[in-house]
Amino acid sequence: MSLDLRDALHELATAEGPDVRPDAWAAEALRRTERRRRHRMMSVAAGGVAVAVALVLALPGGRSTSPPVADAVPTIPAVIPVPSSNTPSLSDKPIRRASMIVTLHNRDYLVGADGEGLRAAPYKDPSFIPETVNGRKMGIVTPVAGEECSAALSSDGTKLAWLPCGKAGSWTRSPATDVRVVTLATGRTRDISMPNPPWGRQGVQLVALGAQLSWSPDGSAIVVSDANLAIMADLSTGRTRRLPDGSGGAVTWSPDGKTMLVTDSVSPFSDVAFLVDRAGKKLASLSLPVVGHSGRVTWFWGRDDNTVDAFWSQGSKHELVTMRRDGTVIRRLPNPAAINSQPIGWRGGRLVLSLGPSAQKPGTYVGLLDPATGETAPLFRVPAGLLCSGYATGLVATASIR
Amino acid sequence: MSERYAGFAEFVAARGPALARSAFLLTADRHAAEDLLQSALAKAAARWGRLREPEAYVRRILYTEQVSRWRRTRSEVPVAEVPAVATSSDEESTVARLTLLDALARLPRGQRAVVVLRFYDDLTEAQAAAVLGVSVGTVKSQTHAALARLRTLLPDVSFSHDAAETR
Repeated sequence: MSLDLRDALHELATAEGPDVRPDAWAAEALRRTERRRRHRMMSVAAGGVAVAVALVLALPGGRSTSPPVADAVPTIPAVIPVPSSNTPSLSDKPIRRASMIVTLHNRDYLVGADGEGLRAAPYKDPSFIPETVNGRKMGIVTPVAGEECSAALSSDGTKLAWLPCGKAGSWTRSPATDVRVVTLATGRTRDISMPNPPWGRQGVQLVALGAQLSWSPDGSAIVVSDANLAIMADLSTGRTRRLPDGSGGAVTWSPDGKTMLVTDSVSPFSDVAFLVDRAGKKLASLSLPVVGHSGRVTWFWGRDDNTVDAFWSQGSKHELVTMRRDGTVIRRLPNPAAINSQPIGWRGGRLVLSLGPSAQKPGTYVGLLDPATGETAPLFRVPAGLLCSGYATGLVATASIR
Repeated sequence: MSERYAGFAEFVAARGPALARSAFLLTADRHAAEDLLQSALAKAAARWGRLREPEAYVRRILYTEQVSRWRRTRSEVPVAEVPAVATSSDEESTVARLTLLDALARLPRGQRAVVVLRFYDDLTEAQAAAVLGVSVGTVKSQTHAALARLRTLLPDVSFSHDAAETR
């Protein structure tokens, strides 16, 4: 076969190249440019503040307040603020990192981790939405209860990933095939294509219902899982890897980011989980050491690389079980005070938990559970009506509560 | 904001598609191409009003950024398979295109850049050298190596490129 290289390249570029959408390209370029300009101005202003603070400190008797320097200790409000109609969007007022995602009336907001307050999540922001997906024009529709986007913050809170929403959110009427990742500080977006995602095949209604996103601690990989399948995407290469059959539900990572704890979606009551390495190899199976139960089990990684934990409850029975990677039980803590709660991560050797509302205490508390005693202590409060739907786990572990 | 960037949207509307196609050949990936183009357009927007030849500027950014990424990482792994998206009804033509795309993707970025500059953008060796910031000798050797590699990757294809190669 003879081929004119010039003609072949032209034909290739024309037929297989990106969809032509110059309006979106121009809008995105201007948005990025304006964002950088604002950041430069903020940096100059922060630099000015730092100089001023240094000068004040140099004066006899000078006092300082905390300057907004870039690497300051992250903060979490002692009471999470409630969004209002004036809450700015991420594109209007960028933030560098966020500690959590909160949901109010089916809309998501990010909680700034440097005292900036709230920002509307970008997946409802037209400037972060692609014009077309799979050749189909996208638009915004009114969110519907129970069909929110699946989204997750990276451990350090600097990146947000989300699955294109079904009819609930911004990317409408098209099965989701990509995970969109945005770097909060720059607004830079990236799409990670998932090979044959089951939520894509099943149709838009299921997009947001089952799928969950789990970042590796270092932010280099993300797992998308639904009821019966999990796919890991390496963000540095864009490559995807399907985890072993049966993987499903929430995936949690070991602190060193080398191993994942995956719930066996085939097992009844999820009383079996297994460990998977980053190559997708199943390392070990773990079983809940409780015979004949029919309760709900939540598996999550322990405080170090060598332990895993499981909450299980059935009727009035509750237990926190800690075991080694080989399944050997280390400790069983019956009826911990924080039962029926969702584990978030670890902070100073204590388990961070989202504690549901009760008749006595409306709203949600995020608290700390001491595994040695089973006692809980409040960390911060989430007002009634707000739902915390995702946390930057590494940031929650170190943030100052103010 | 609109005054600062007057004419930018029109420029993107007029030249964006061509630039996107160059980016696609450079990256051999639709998403990466758009990402690269967006990055280059944002840099152009930041200097908008001070650029005498915006297209040349954007094109230079496309190439240098793509090659510099490769220089920084040197970790690019050739793709194992071509995208399974056939848009043409002419199956043979589609297969040929995707085969060429696969072969392009297997070229090192520097060689890929030279191929696109020389045979798609139709630049001379001297012009290509200026865009990439390398010597004409480097362009010649990269072109030679790239074509040799393409011949190896596409043994059933003979290229009628000789006139272009000697420009």
